[in-house]
Amino acid sequence: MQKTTVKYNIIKILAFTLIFFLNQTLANKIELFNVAPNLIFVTVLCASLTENDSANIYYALAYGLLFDFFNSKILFIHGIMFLLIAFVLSEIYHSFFENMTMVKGLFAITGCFAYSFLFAVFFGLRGADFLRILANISIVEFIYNSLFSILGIFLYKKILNIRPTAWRVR
Amino acid sequence: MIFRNKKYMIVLGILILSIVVVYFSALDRENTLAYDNAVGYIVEPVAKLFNSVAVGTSDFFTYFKDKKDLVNENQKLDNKLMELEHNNSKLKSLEIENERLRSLLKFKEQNPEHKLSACTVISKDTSNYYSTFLLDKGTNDGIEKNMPVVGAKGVIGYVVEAGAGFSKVQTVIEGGSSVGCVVTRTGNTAVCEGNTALLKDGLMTMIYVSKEMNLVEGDIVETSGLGEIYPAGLVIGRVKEIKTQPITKTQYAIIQPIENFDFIREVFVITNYQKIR
Repeated sequence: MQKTTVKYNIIKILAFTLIFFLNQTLANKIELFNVAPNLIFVTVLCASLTENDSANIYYALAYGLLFDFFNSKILFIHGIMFLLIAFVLSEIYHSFFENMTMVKGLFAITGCFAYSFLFAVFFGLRGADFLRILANISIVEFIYNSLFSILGIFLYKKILNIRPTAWRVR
Repeated sequence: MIFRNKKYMIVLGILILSIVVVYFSALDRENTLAYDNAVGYIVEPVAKLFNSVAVGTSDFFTYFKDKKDLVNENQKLDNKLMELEHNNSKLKSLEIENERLRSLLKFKEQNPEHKLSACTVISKDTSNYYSTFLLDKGTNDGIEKNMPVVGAKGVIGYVVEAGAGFSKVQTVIEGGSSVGCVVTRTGNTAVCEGNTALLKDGLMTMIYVSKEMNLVEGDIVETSGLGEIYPAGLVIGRVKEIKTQPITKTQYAIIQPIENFDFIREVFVITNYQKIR
């Protein structure tokens, strides 16, 4: 597993925070069939799949918690979702499919599906109509997030290539 | 002697000719004389040529000068137009805000028994499964958990979290929210609850609806005051559709909330309701 420098992580935190606040302000403006994308989840997922770095676990948890604070009543729900999905997919991908771009894209799509599906199950267990949530929200959210994640993986890799070599290894 | 000098004769002759020409030229005559026509015949094309050259040259330089002036004027007018459009847009925005604030003031005047704390929405959630937003006031301003939140037209939700300088509000359409309600027309009581599946459509459901209630589409639904959070008499919404559960065959209604949760900017928190009970 690679370790990254402090400087790189500071810039990463600033970038992720910017994306988070962009999500907070713009996501509702780019709704598709009344469903907004979750750009911060997509970013965290792309980071986990692109970089084999243990720090991404903490990013997933931190930004999930931040998302909970601004957007939900139940603290840690998004934190757990972000962490679980990003961690599991990252471990499997980096252990068996490292550097396979097509597989990375499939994993990103799987992550988006898992996120939407698990939330539908969660609210179904809390008494809501599971099938209706799946049809009205989850499927559209999964497709929308998947599109952004494919784009995100491509962009993330490009940005990483620009990063100075000294920042890549501690 | 003068008449013998050839030079003097010539000059005299020219003078006499000139005087004659002047005399006839000065005459106010109807027709031009033959020599006028002869002179004109020669002079006219030359004059035309010189004139066209002069006009063309003048136009050439005037074109650039005029174009520059026009471009400058156009730029000034563009800037002025942008400024006016900006001002117009600001005025429209102020007009809308004015209307909104007037509605809130009217609500306050119509409900003198409630102590209302006006708050501004500072952030709305972007989740697809929740409907919450943050207000700019908290415990420092007397806002506490479980206080009802209303807009100019009716119920919005209640405070689920109150920090020192902020509070989080859960709207009535969020899954898990429920409000004791009464149909204004018939007086029948029921329960309105939020539904995650209908969240993005901005709707909620009314349960415990019986056929005897004779509910019709368009019926206004208000808070009954039987719950622990909302006082009685606040408008929740209107009945949009009446449906039957496929398995249990029980009726339920889809309620269109009176407030549009996508466009909330200012709200009131009722701070003295719990004290009244």
